Amino acid sequence: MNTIADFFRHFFTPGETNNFKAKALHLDFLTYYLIFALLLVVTVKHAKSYANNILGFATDISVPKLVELTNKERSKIGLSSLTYNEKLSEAARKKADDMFAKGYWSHYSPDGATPWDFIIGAGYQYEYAGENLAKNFLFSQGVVDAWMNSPTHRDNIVKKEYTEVGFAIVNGILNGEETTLVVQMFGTPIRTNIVQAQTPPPQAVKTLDAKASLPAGHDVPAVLGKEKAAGGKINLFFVTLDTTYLFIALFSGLLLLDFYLAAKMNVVRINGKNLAHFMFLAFVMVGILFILRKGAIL
Amino acid sequence: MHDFFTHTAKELKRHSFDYLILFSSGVMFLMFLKLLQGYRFYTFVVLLMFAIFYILWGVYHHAKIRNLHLKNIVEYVLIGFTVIFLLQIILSY
Repeated sequence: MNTIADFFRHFFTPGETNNFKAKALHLDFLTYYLIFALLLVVTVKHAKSYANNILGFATDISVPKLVELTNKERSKIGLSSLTYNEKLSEAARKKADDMFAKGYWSHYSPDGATPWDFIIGAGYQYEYAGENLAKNFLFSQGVVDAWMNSPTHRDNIVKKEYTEVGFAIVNGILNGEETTLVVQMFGTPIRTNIVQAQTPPPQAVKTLDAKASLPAGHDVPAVLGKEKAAGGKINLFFVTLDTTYLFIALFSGLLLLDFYLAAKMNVVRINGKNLAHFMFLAFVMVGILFILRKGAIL
Repeated sequence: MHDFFTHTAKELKRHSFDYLILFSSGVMFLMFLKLLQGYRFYTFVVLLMFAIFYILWGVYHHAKIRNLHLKNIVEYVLIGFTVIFLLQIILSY
């Protein structure tokens, strides 16, 4: 028992056996940490190359979750839930594919195709239709939060006329960068009796909601929310993210413990400043949060 | 715990200018990260600059307090580069 306690004491606290500095903070161990980080870089790089099904692009965005969150926002103000529509999802997928193929990030394609062209192209005859776009978000919650924080996108989500919704989450290379696009298409199918009566003409009653939001090409950062990895697959991104956070947090804790005990023992040592290391790591940890909040909406 | 706070306060007071520089660089690091959100390459450059600045700060600080030894510099370099590699993984997604 004593041996285990001694080992931990030697490893984590300064004392005579480790030259008054926690062994885990000695240069040889710092070198091991660097090697560990390097191995992690190599592992992730290889995993990404060979296992596209794990993650080429890391997101935890799923269509069921987006539908659920959208309907949750609507129910908050007493609106009816939207029904998932496969044709709208097909339109959304085609729109996302078109953005990747032609390299644009806009409601309109460079050749002038509008969101409504994609909706009609998918065989969806609408009375009202709208479109929201998002890219590079990690979580469904982040996407919906960003949309809800933008008045024009929010208007689409809580428009009482809409009855159906479709989504596409597509990974690809957009303008040279790995990108995850989320396309949300809203619609209200045209009523049969209106088509038959031809009054008013379908074109006249179409409401191009997203058009109003077109000039608002602004970025809204996402609000982070954690979800379970879809389908129970190992999510490499979260494994590495959690490992990084855990490592930095443990290392920071160790620095503070070592600093505290050394101060208590009144030890004078030749080494780096634990306080400076801690400050550096604290800024890095906050920085990671900034890096994760990188999504944009349109 | 009292020793900890006393020692921390003493350390910060004794080298207030140095720690202020380090703190300011950290704030600037976060500001640039915020400004460059979504630009992976520039984010990495900002991270690299911050880590290099941190290493240089270590050299400057220890030189100032006449405590500049190779093992001190190596300590800053190892921590700085470990963090760079770890964040590079996150940025690669």
